[in-house]
Amino acid sequence: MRVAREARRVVVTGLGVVSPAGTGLEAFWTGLQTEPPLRRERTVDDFDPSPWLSGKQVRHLDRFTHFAIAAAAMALQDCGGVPPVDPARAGVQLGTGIGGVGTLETQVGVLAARGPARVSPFTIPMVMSNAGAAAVSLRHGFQGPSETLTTACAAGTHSVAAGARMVADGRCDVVLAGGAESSMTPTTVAAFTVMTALSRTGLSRPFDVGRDGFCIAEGAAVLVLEEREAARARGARIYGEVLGAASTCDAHHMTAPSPGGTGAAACMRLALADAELETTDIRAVNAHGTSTPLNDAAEAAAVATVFGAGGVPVSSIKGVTGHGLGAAGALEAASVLLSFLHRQLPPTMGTTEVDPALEVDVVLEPRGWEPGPTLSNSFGFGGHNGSLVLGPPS
Amino acid sequence: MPPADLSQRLLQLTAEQLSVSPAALRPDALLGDELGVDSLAAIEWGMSIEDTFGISLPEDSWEYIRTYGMVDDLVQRLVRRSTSAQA
Repeated sequence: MRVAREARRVVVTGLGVVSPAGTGLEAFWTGLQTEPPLRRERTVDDFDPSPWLSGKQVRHLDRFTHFAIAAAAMALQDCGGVPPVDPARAGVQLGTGIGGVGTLETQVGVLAARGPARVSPFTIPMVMSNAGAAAVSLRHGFQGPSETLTTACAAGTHSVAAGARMVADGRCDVVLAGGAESSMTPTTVAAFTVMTALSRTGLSRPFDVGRDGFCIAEGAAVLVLEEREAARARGARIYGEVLGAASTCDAHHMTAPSPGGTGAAACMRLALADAELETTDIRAVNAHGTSTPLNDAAEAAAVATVFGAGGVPVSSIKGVTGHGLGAAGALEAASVLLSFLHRQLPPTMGTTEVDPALEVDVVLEPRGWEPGPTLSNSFGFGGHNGSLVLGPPS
Repeated sequence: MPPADLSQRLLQLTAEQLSVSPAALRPDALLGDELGVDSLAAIEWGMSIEDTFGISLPEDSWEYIRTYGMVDDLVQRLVRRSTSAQA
């Protein structure tokens, strides 16, 4: 990260994951290699908030905040507890795509059935997109910046980048960064369906010739970001480093990517420049890879433009996780960091026949590798592009 | 409804709503410090009291009520008034 090169380097010392592919790091990593169910709506069916929240707290927080609390608590536990820092220098960057829309939808029903006087007084603090960040700060007493970026499906990636910059530029010594999403409601599912974004078959198959849309999902991932020297001094286990990041906008169309993925390509190049790396330094790409015809074509074109046809292995974990919208980029960053630990690139599950029109080396089976700098992409409705460069511990 | 039944029903409703033990609902239990009732929780609790007993709590109730016993008294009074109004 360019700022970091001048000042402080940023490492990841803890991970917490809630996902349809598995909750907790072992279940998640195993899940990424497991054939997912044929299902258009990928819910986290086995999620139990009771280890982290009382019954009253569960009622007064939206499900996306339950996920945020759980992922943050697991990440802190993973790094050995809250790092010993000044609470005023401990921050939270937690993105979401649509926040507490499920609560809003429930209360719209209450309003229609019982009138305005019976709408829950907790509606606003449950619905607001920053509720997850606020609840995490409150729980751990973090008094530094606590912010929520919302850039649709790029929010998770942008939040990790923003969190890393808060550490790099010296504002914070520790930041919990990631994304949380639980916005599968009858209305949002209907809306994604009528815009033909969702898979009709319930099969998420990124870059496949038969891909027909994404499988909507929920979940959260939180990364503990710390200044490298402090983390090393206390003997923290280091998963990897945030080497660089970039954020751009296509400024082309509200929902369609720019033709040829030109906006995505520009974002990837900026991220490489931020990391002060060449294209040949990048060993793998963790794709946005949603399984929609348009995204995968544009992203494949962008990757081929930047790295050359078949120039770098490309994985998408969305075949298993589905598309967790504002949580997706954070879940994918977690998968990249786990791919360093396990020395293996995750397969692109669900995909059987790569679209011959796409000039990319799609990783279809688990592939052993020597961990190296990896680019992780996210693209959101609105034309928002985000790219992160993560590197193994050094 | 006899006052004892009413108190019992309020106790059950409150224990559930506030996620507290029924034993904690002593007449002198302080709403804020002991029962964790903040302004939003009070509004939500008030809604379920109104729905359960078919009464309407005065808007300023939470401004002067400090203890659980005061809530019980108010609900008893409002239920009596509404019953006698119907008779």
